Amino acid sequence: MKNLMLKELRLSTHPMVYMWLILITLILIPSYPYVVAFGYVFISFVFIFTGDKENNDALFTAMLPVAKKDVVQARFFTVVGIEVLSLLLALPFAWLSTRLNPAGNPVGLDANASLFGVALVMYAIYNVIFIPGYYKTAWKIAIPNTIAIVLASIFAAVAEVVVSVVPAAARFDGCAPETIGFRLAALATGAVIFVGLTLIAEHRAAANFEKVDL
Amino acid sequence: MTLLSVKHLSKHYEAFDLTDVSFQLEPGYIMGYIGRNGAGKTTTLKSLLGLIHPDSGTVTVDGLDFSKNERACKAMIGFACGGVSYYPRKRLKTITDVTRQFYDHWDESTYQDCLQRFELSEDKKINQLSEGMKLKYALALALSHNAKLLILDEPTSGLDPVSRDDLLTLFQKIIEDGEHSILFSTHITSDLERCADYITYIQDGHIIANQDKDSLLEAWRLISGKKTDLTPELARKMVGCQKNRFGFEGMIATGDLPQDPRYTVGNPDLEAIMVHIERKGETL
Repeated sequence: MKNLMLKELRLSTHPMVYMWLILITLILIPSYPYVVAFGYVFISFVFIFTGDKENNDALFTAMLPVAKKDVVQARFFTVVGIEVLSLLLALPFAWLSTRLNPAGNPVGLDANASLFGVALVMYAIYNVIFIPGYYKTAWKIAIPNTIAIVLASIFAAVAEVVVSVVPAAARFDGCAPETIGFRLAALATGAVIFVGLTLIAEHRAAANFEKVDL
Repeated sequence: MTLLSVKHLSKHYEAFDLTDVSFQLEPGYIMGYIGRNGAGKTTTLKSLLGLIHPDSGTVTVDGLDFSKNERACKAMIGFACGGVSYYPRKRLKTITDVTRQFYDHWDESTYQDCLQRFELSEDKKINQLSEGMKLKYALALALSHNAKLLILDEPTSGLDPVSRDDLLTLFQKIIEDGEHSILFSTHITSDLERCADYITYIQDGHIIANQDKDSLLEAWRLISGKKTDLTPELARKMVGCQKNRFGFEGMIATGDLPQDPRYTVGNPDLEAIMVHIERKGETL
């Protein structure tokens, strides 16, 4: 697996991935729907998977002394690694954002633990729709990617609207110390959904790739 | 122990079926895998590596079932399918650096020897290589990790005559120790005349011959004569018979050869055998 990860870094990870990760700093903008900052990470995956397609990566990797399921697992480590990196990068900017904008974000969730929970579920939806869909052919990107991004976006929009219009859900917004338990619960729920759906996604993707003729 | 054993490999496509392909290869031998374009050569070779998922059948490499020991089996195989078709904008050095990490038995001196032998520069990018040079690079990678079994799809088709000659000499050197074997597909049958020990012949997805080269060559004779000397019985026994205004010519099983001075008889080479069999699609 270590060798496959080195291959992922040296051959598959497009330099633009790092550029899209920088956009996580959009969390610092005073009035901005912060979930969008996490959504830019999806574009970096398009670069990686399109690069695979252009470079015939599936054939190259499948010829190496690895099992086909190892190829899928390495790709999951790459995707999840980028997702987790985006969350870690967002942490200091989220902290700074709450200090710079003490009045809160008027157009969506504040940069708090709930936001990270919503981001984790967005990533989970993307992983479980796009990656198994891609590995049905190891070739077609557009349809599974579009469906995954649309569904993740719908979830994010619904979460934002619910927090804004449902009074009981307002506890998930803001940074008040007395409601921190709700926000941490949202984060924990997001983390559980992320781990669960990503494991299901990897299992399905590996099964799909096994049937693909290269 | 048999190095490669293929049993009852089948794969169904809408327009093509690979049917019940079976053969085996012992250590220390070269097997030529021949057949027309589209006969199923590449499908078979890709199935051996799991690149194509066969519907049924088993592949065993050095006693290990491929489906249960994919990593270990692939480590024993050097595979080149045409030239390098991946990462066209990467330098050879980058691809080699990534590739060598995967092999415990990577032999750097063999790799450097291949670079020198094939006149490859590691600083070049894949898309700066000609098709022939891409093929040589694929072979350099396949040869450099001490693979017990080399599976090569059309390894000589894009090469100039000098490189082909060099490569065939190298093939013979590789199998000299009696531990390595080579399976290669080709339609340049003259290469097989020179180095193959066994021939496996595939036609429309079916194996129609799987035997040592000399017995295959011995099994057939070319026969020709005047048109008036072509009896119905002889015509029935012949394969790929062609008639023209001067006479007839075709191929016949050695056992069916008539002892008649009216006919001119000759020994076919592999190309002649293939051409006659394919001429009318008749089976052996």
